[in-house]
Amino acid sequence: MEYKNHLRPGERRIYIRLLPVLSLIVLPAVLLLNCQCQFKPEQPPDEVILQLKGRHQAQFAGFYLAQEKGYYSQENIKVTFLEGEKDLAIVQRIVYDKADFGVIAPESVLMARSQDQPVTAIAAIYRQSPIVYVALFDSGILRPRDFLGKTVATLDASGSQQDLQLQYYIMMKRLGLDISKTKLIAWDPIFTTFYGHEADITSCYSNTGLIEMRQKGLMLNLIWPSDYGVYFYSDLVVTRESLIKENPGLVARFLRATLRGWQDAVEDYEQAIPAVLKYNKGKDPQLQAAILEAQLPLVHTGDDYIGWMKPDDWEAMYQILLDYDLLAKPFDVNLAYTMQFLYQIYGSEGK
Amino acid sequence: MNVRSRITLLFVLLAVVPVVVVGFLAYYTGRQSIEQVEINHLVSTNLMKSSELTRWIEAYQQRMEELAQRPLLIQYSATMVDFDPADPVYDVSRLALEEDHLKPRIKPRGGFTEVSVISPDKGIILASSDEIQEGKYYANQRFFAEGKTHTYTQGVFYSIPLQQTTMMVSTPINDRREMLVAVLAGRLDLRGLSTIMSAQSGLSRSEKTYLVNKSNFFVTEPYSGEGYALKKTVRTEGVQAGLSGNDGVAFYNDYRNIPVIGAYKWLPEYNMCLITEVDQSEAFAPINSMAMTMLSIISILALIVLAAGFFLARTITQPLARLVAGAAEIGRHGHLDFKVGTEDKDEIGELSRAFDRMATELKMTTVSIDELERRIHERTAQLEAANRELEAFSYSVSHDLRAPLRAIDGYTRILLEDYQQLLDDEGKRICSVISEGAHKMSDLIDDLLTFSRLGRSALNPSSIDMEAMVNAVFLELTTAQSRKRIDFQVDPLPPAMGDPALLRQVWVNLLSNSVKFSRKKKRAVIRVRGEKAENETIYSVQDNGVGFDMQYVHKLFGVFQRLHSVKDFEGNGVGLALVQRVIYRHGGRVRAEGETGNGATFYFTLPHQGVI
Repeated sequence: MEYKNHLRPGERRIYIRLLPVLSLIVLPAVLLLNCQCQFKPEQPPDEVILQLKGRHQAQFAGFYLAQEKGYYSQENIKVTFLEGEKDLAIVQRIVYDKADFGVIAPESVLMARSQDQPVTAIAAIYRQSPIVYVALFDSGILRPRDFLGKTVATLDASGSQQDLQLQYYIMMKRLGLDISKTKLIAWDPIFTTFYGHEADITSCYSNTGLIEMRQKGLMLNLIWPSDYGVYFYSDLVVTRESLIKENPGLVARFLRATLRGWQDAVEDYEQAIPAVLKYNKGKDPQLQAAILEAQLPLVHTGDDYIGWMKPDDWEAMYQILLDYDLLAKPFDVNLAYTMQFLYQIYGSEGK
Repeated sequence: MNVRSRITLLFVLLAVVPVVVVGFLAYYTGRQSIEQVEINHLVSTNLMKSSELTRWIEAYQQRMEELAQRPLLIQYSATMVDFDPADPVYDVSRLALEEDHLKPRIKPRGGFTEVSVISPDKGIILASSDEIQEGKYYANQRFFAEGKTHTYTQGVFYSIPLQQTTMMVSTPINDRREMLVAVLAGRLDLRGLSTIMSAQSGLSRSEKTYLVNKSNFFVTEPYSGEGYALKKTVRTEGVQAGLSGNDGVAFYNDYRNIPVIGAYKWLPEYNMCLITEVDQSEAFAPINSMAMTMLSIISILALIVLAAGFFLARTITQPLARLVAGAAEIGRHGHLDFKVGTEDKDEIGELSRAFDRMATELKMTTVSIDELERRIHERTAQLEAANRELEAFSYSVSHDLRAPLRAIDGYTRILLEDYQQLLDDEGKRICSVISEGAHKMSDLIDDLLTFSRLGRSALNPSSIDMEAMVNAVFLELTTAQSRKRIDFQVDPLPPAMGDPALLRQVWVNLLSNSVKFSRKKKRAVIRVRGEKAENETIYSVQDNGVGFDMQYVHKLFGVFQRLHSVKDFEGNGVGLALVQRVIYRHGGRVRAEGETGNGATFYFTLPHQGVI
C-alpha cells in the first residue's frame, strides 16, 4: 500500500543504456496503440496514504467527498485514509514514507522544519484557526487578562494538540501577561475538567468542541486568540519534500482532486453529510452537520480560492514562533510551504 | 365526408379560427408587454436597491467621518496613543471617549453595533463602545489597513469571533496637521441591509432581492428563510452573469430550481452582485389566467357553433335528402308520379319544385317516346315482311329460272348429240353458244342465290385462328405447281371473333382474286398482314398483279361489277360484293388500294367487340 518511486543508481544506469533499444521497440508500439485506442491498457492507479490528524469526522469532509465523488479515481489515484495521529508523529510518518500526505497544523510544520524535517505544506484547508478559549458566561472572564489567577486546561499532554498550548502561550506573551500567574492543566478533549469546574477556562476548537458544549446548553464567553494578534492557519495538506521533487504530477493530481472535494463541501455542506457518516460509522449526524456548517468560514474566507496560502501569512506565523522562541533554529520560511501546486491548479493570481 | 359534416365543420372553423388567432395574438402581445413591464420593474428595483444600498453605506461613512473629525475625539485618541495605560490620564481619556463619543453611536440612535478607536501601529483596540473588545488586535484586518488612509467599507464577511456576518466602515482620525492619530472603525447593523433587500417593491409575493459575493455565496438571505448568508453558494445563470461584471435580465431557474425572471447588477465598489428575481409563474399569472379564460370561451363557442352548424346543415340537407330519395325513386323504379312537395321559399324549395316539374314533364316525354317506339316496331315489322317477301320472290325467281335454263341446256345438248347430222357447222356453233349461255346464266343465278342467302342466314360467331385459316385456304386454292411461282407471305395475324364459315369465304374470295390477277406475273407475290388498332383489327391482302385504276374503286364492291374483261380474267363480279356484305354483317369495313399494273391491296376490319 505504500507509495514507492525510488530507483537505485545502478538500476538507473541500466535503464539509461537500454533506453535507445527500448525506444525502438516501445515507440512503434505506442504509436500503434495510439491509433487503436481501444487496446490501450490502463495505467494502474497510484496508491497513496493520507494521514488525518484526528478521528473520522466532518473536519475532513472535503477528502471524503473527493473519494466518494470519484475525483481521486478520475486522477487515477487510490487513496487510503488513516485516522488520527499526533502532529509530530504524522510528520514522522510522512518523512519516513509511512504516509504520503497528511493533515496537520502550521505550527507543527514550522517546528518540524526548524528541526530539518523535510515536510512541506501544499495547501491550507482551514485558513483561519478554529482555536478558542472558553469560560462560563457568568464567570466574569471576558478577556485574556482575566485568565490571571485562574486554571486553564490547555496543556498538550498527548502531543496531538500542540497548537492549543502554543497559541495560548503566544497570546499571553503577546499581551504581556505572565503565564506563571495562570494554572495550566492538561487539555481534556471531552472537557471533564471544565464541566467539573476544575478548570475555569478550557481551550477548544470552534468547529468541534464548542459545538458539543453548546449542544449541552452551556452559555459561554469566547476569547479568540485571533482577536489578540495570534493569527494562524490550521489544517494544512502536507507532503514530504522528496515526493514533490520526484513525482510532482502525483502531488498536483492529489491536490486537485482534494480541492474539488472541498469546493463541493463548501458549496453545499449538506451534501457532505452522507459521506462523513459513511466514514465515522454514522455517529452523531447532528453534530457532524453542525461541524460542517461551523467550518465553512474557516475553509472559505471569501477572499481567496479554497486552499490558497499567502506568503505574508506564512512569514507572520514563522515570525511569531521565532519571536517566542518556539523554533529550534531560524530557517528559510519558504521551505515550509510551496505555492507550486496551487499556482498549477488555480493560476498564479489569487482572487 | 358528407355535406352535413362539411357545413358543420366549416361553421366551427369560421367561428373558432379567428377567435383562436385573435386570442393567440392577444396572449402573445399581452405576454410580451407583461414581460417588458416585469423586466422594467426588476431592473428599476435593482437600481433602486443599489442606490439605497449605496445611500445606506454612505450614511454610515458620513457618520464615521463626522465623528473622526470631532476635536475632543481626536484629543482623547491622541492621549491614549501617547500615554501608558497605567497613567490615570489614559483611563480618563478612554472613559470620555467611550461615554461621550463611541457609545452614543450605537443603535438604535447611532445605527452602529460597535464603534472602536484602534491604535495606528499595532492595530489594538484602545477604546470601544463594547468594553470587551478593548485590547483586541485588528492588525490583520483589511478595514484597519485601509482605514489608516481613507474611509473604507469592508463588504459583508463572516467574523469568526463574532460568529456572524458583518460589515465594517473605517476612517482615519487625523490631527490638525493631518497626521494619523488612530483609526476609527464601526460595525454596521446588518438588519438595515436585510431591510433594504427584503423590502418588497411591488405587489409580487415571490419577488426577492439578495446579494451574492464573488465566491458565489449568498450575502443576504434570499427569502424570508435563513441559513443561506455566507453558508450556501448559488450558481444560477443570473448570478454567473452578474458576477462576470454584467448588468441585465435573464430567464432561468433560481437556487430552488424554480423558473424565474431575474435582473442582475454588478456592484464593483462592493465586489458583489445584486439579484432581483420574481417567479415566472407569478409574473405571468394574469396572462396565463387570461389564456385559460380564452380557452374556455373558445371551447364553449366551439360547442355552440357545432350545435348551430349541425342544425343549420340539417335544414339544408333534409330537403336535399328528399330530392335524392325522389331521384332514386324515379331513376330506379321509374315512379314518375313521385313528388318532393315542399313549401320552402328558399333556393332548395325552388329546386324541389323544379324537380317535381321535371318529373311531370319527363312523364309526358316518356309517353311520346313509347308511342314512337311502337310505331318503329310496327314499321320494322312491315319492312321485314316486305323484305322477306322480296327475298322469297328473288329466290323463287332464281330457282324458277333454273328449270327453263336446264331445259334450254338439255334440249341444246339433245340437238347436238342426236341431230348433229342434221345440223351444219353453223347450227352446231349456235347450239354450243346457246349451251354456254345457259351455263353462264346458271352460274349467275347460283352466285345470286348465295349472295341472297348471306342476307338471311344467322351468324354463328366463335374465335378464329386467322393465320391458320389463311394458310389452309391458300393451300386449297392452289396446286403444288402453281405455288412454285407464288411467293406467299403471311405475317402473324391476330385472332378474330366471327362466323368461321363466312370469314373463310372472305379469305377464299380475296386470295383467289390475288392468285387470279397475278397469274400473268412471272413471279407472283401475295402478302397477308394483320394488325390491331384501337377498337378493331385490320387485315389486308396485297398482290403484285394487274391492279386497277383508282378512279373506279367505288365500283369494286358492287354486285356484278368487273374492272377487267372476262376474256382476261374469268368471274362474274360477285366475289368482292360478297366480301363486303360479310364484313358489314360483322360490323367491319372494307376498302381497296391499287394502281394499274402495280398490284392491289384489299383491307377489311373486324371490331374487337365481336360481331354485331
